Amino acid sequence: MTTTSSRVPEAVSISAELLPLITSRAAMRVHSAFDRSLNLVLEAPAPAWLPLGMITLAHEGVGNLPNGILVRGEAALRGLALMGGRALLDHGRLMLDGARIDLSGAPAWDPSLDGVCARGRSAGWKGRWASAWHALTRAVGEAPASPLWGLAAERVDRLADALERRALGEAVDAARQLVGLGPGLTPSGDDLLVGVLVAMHCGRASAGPDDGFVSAFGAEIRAMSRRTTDVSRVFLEWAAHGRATQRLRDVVEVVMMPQGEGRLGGALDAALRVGSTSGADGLLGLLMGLRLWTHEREEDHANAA
Amino acid sequence: MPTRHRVLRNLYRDSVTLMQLSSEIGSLEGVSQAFAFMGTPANLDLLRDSGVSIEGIQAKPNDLVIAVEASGDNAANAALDRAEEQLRKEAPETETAAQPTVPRSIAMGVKELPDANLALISTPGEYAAAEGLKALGKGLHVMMFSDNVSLEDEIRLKRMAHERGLLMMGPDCGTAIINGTPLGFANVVRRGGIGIIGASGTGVQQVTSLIDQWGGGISQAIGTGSRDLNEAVGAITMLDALDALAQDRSTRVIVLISKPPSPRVAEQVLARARQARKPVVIDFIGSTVRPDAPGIHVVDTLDEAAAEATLLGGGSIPELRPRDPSAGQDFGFAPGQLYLRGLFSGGTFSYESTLLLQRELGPIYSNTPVRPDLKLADPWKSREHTTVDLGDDEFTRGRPHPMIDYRLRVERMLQEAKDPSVALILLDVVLGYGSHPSPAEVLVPAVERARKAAKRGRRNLVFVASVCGTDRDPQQLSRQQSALERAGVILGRSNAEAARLAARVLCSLEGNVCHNGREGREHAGERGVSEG
Repeated sequence: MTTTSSRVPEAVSISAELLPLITSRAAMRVHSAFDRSLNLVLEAPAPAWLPLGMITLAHEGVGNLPNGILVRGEAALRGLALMGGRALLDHGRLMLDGARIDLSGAPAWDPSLDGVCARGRSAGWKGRWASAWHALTRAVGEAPASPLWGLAAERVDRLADALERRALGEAVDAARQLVGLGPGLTPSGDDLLVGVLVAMHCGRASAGPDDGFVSAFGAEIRAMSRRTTDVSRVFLEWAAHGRATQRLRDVVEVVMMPQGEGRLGGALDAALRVGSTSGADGLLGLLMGLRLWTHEREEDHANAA
Repeated sequence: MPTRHRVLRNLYRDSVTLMQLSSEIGSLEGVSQAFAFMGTPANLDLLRDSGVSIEGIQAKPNDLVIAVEASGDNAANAALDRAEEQLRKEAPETETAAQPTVPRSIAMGVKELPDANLALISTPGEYAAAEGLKALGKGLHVMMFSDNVSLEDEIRLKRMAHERGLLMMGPDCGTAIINGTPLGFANVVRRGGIGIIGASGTGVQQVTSLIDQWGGGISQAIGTGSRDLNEAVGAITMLDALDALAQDRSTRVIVLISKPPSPRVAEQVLARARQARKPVVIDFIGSTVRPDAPGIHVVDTLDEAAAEATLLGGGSIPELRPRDPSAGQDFGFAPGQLYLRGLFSGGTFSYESTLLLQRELGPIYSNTPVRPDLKLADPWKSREHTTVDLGDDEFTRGRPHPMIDYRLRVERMLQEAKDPSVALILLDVVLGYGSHPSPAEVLVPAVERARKAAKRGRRNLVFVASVCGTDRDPQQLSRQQSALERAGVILGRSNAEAARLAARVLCSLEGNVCHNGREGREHAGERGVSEG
C-alpha cells in the first residue's frame, strides 16, 4: 500500500523513554487503532522498562505520552494500519501499512516527574501545593462530572480517606475496586489512580524518601493492573514509575515553578480536555494523591501551634 | 427479566461511544436495560451489584461486553445484533483538543453570556451543591434540577441565596417558568397575571396548564424543590418567592402548591401570604389547615387552585359539573373484578389521586402512601386498590423518568391487566418540554394489548386518564386527548377529576364498599352511584 506524501504524518516529538528502542530494529503489531492514536506492541518479549512492550503513536493534540510518539498530520491514524497488522521500527523509521514515518528529527520529551518535582524541594513546595490544591479543587469541581462517580463515589471516598490516613491495606482494597472501573478504553477508575500515583510520586520527589507508603502503594497498583485493559494498564505502570502524560506533568510543573500560578489555569484547562472525562478523573486523582502531602502540612501547622 | 450478553474479544471503544451505545440499545422495543463496557472485573462487579445477572459472562479486561435485559430472546438478540453492528462500524473518536470549545463550567458560561442571571444545574447530586455555590457566588439565581443533595447542603444554599437576594429553586426542582421561558419539565402557557410558587413540579404543571386552557396566563412559575416546606428548611425559597411575587407588578394573584408542611412552617407561610396584599390561593394538598383570613383562599386540589386563581384574576372557567361515567353503562366486568391500579408518572398526581380515592374507596396501597401502614411491601407488586408513583427513586434508578420513557409503565399495565381482580387502570399523562414526544402513540397500543390480555380471561378493563398540558405544547393536548378517547380511555379534565371518575366506576361494582354515601350494590342494594 502506498500513500501520498501529504497524508504521511510528521513526527514532532518522542518520549525520551523510547529512545533506546527507536534507534534499534523491532517488529511490532497493531494492538488497537483510533483516529487520534495507534497502539503498537513489540512482537518480541517486552523489556522490563517498557510496560507491555507498548508504544503509542498519537496525534499532537493528544499531548506527549510516556510511551508516545507524537505526530502532526491530517490523516486519521486508524487509516494507517489495521488492527492486528504488522509494523516495524527500523533505526529511526516507523513503517506501517499506510505510512513510513521518519523519527530521526523529532525532539525528545521527558515524561519523568523527578526533575520537575525535585525543583520545588528547597523553596516551600508544600505551600505551593496547598495553593494549587484549591485551584485543582475548583477545576475538578467545574469539570463535567464523570458518570462513573455516581456509581462509585463511595469507593473513591474510601480511597481518599485511606490515603489521607496512610492506611496501606485499606487504600489497596479501595484501589482494587477502582482498577478497571468505567466503560471505555481507559476506565475512569484507572484515570483516577494514575493521577493519585503521579501526585504521590511527586510529593515524594519533593520531600525526599518517604516511609515506604508511596512505593508500596505503587507496587500494589502495578500488581493489580492486570485487572484492566492493556492501554490503561500501561498508563498505570508508567505512573507507578513516576512517568506522567504531558497534560498531568504540565500541571505538576507549573505548581513547582516559583511564580507558576499564572500558567496554572491554562495547564488545568488542557488537562481537562483529555478524553470525555479522563482529564477530570486524572485531576481528581491528582488532588487525592496530594492530600497525602497537604494533609501533612496541615498537621505540621497544628503541631507548630 | 432475563439478561443476555455478548463478548467481543479485543475490541476497544472510548467511554462516550459506549455510553451512547448503552443508551441507544436500552431504548429499543422490549429492552429494559443495556450496558456496554470493557470486561474488567470491576465493571462486572458493578453490574452484579446493580442487580443484573452476570452469570455466564466470560470476559477479559480487553474484551468489550454488551449486556441487555429484555422481555424475551427475540428482543435481546435484536438489541445485541444492533449493538454489535454499531461497534463493528468505524466509530468516530470523541477525544481531545481539536473540538470547538464548549463551556465546561459556570465561570466559562458566564464569560460567554455575561448578561445571564440564572443558572440551571442538572448534575449528579453529589456535585450539584458545589455548582450551586459557584452560581450563587457569581450572583446568579439558581434552578437546581438535581436531586440527591443533602438536606444540610440545601439549607446552606438557600440561606446563601436569601442573604444575597437571590432565588434558590431546588434541589429537586423539576419545573419553572421564568419570564415566559419554560425550564425543566414545563408547558407552553401564555403570559398573564397569575404567579405560581410550587414545591411540586407536576403540581405546577397542572395548575399552569389549566389556567392556560381557561384563558388565563402566568407571570412567573417558581419551583422551590420538594423539601422546601420541611421543618428543617423552613420554606426559605417559598417565602423569598412570595416576597418577590408580592412586589412584582405583573402578578395579580399568587398560588402556593405543596404537600402539607409542618404546622410551624405553614404558619410562617400563611403569615407572609397575609402580607402580600394580593389574593393568595393555597393548595397544601391533603392539609386540614383552614385559615380564616382575608385574601387567603384555601383549596383541596390542583384543579380547584387553577379555577380559583383564574376567577380571582378576572377570568372565567367552564362549568366543572362532575360527570358519572358509570351512569347507564355496563362495563362488562367479570365477578371478582374490584380493584383500581393507578400508575403515575407524576409524584404529586399520585399523591393527590391517592388522597381523593381513599376518601371514596377506603384504603389505597402505594409506594408513596398517604398513611404509613398502607405502604406496599414490594412496590413492584400491587395489592387490592393500589397507586404507584413510577417516578419514585426505586423505579428510576438507572432508567429514564417515566414522563420520558413509558416502557416501565406499559410493562406494569400489562402485568396489572393479567390480574383477575383488577377492574380499572388510572393513568396520568404529562405533556410539555422534556416529556415523551407523543405519549398517546405508546399508550394506545398498550391499552389495546392490556385489554386483549384481560379478554383472554373473559374480563374487561376500564382505563381512566388525565392529560396535563396545553395545545401549544410540542405534543399538542387535543391531539393526545383525541387519540386516547378513540381508544376508549375515559378522560378527566384534570388529575383530580380523573381520580373521581375512577372512583365512580369502581363504586358501581358489586363488592366494593364506597364512602361519601356511595356504596357498591352488594351493600346498598341497587342504588349504585347515580346521585352524582
